Amino acid sequence: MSDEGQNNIITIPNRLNDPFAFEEIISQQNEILEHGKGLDLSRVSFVEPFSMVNMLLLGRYFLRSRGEKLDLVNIPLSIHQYLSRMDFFKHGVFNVPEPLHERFLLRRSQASMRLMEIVEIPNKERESVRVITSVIEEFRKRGSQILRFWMHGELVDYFVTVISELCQNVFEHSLDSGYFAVQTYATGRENICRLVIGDSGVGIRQSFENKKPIDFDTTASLIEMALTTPISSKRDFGFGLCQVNTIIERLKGTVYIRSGDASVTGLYRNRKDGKPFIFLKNDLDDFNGTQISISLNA
Amino acid sequence: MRERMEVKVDSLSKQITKNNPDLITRPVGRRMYKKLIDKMDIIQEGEVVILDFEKIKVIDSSFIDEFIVKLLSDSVKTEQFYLKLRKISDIAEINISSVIKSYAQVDKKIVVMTEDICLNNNFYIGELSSSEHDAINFIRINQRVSLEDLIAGTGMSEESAEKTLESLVDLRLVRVQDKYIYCAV
Repeated sequence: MSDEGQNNIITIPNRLNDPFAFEEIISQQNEILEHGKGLDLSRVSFVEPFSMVNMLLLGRYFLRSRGEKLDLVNIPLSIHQYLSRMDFFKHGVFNVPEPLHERFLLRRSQASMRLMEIVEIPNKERESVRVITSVIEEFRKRGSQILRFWMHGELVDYFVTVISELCQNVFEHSLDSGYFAVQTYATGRENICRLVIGDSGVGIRQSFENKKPIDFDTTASLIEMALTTPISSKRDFGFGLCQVNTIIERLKGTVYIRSGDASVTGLYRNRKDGKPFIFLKNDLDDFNGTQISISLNA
Repeated sequence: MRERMEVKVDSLSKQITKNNPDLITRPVGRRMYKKLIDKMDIIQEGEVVILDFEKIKVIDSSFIDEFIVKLLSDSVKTEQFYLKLRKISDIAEINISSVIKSYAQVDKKIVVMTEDICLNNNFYIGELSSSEHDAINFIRINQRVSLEDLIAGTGMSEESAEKTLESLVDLRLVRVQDKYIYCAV
């Protein structure tokens, strides 16, 4: 995947189309951090929100460790347009050869409001509260468009709770800032609404180890515990993730949490026997912080 | 003597969040709590504070922790007032219920009365035993009951009825008047 020598331009495989597929990019992380100068996106044909936010985290980690920005090269026009539309480049994490000419930029019309552009959630309480409040205000304006395939009375309210809980986790637990984005998009015959929040902070395991003694076997089992029982590292008892999981279960959606070297997936869509489908994975390639994807399918 | 103090949460929140229908985050909960406590300076002992959530859509767990749970704790600790919720949205009820369940995990029993019927078909949010549930419903319907009324109305034994009433009083879900009369909050 990479050229020989130092300061390589590393070709990114076409694996930005699914949260699980992004593992392949994470497996290239060390090579990127040690030998990378830039990323060649020529093979990428589609980027979904979880991969987009994680690319941003990867770029930010590179910037913090190497003190310089990664170059993004050979970006296909459609990808460049999409990333510009999502404010991906506004966060100053990557060097981009040339910004798109205005005539190529996707219009920010009412019809393209099925998304929330990437927003940085600060890691300080006061700033964070201000940003979360404005994110929710904006979501209230766009919610009916974003959730139009699933629309029922209280769905926007449910999502407001989810956004609020997950965004607050960033500043309360991760000790780092994070990125938030939402988009509804079509793939094949399916419409997917995906809400993503990711940070490159201490991760769920360390967050608990720092504050609260809890017995657990593996990182994935700890994440599962945080997802399914009301525990929290912030207060003596509490939840956040558990509350989000309750709502996603009610909405028959999917929740995917990746933290450190583990992940947990909760699939509630095809539940027939009343039992949740929860999959745990350990020993994945390490990726700083916690990244969460919430999806509804229609 | 005034028995009820009604607080429009929407009006109280306007001073903090402008016209936002959502009350979220701990700092907002803390500021709202402080504002309400200032307002409750004039309260008389035993008064019922009714929090009216009309126009409020979402309250999240952090806000609930800092506002409602704190008020409920104050109510139990100070024995100065009772708390009751009115016109809470479905998602607010779900969130309050989840927060209360999380306290139950560490054996902290919290229950709050509501004026409207909830998604759980009760007029309270939280977990009560079946005898507490029967008693609270009996008292809510009849408004003022004695121990004997409760025994006759529910078929409980005297010992069970006494224990149940004691528990409901401790939880601040019923008020005692004239020593032997139990009233709905």
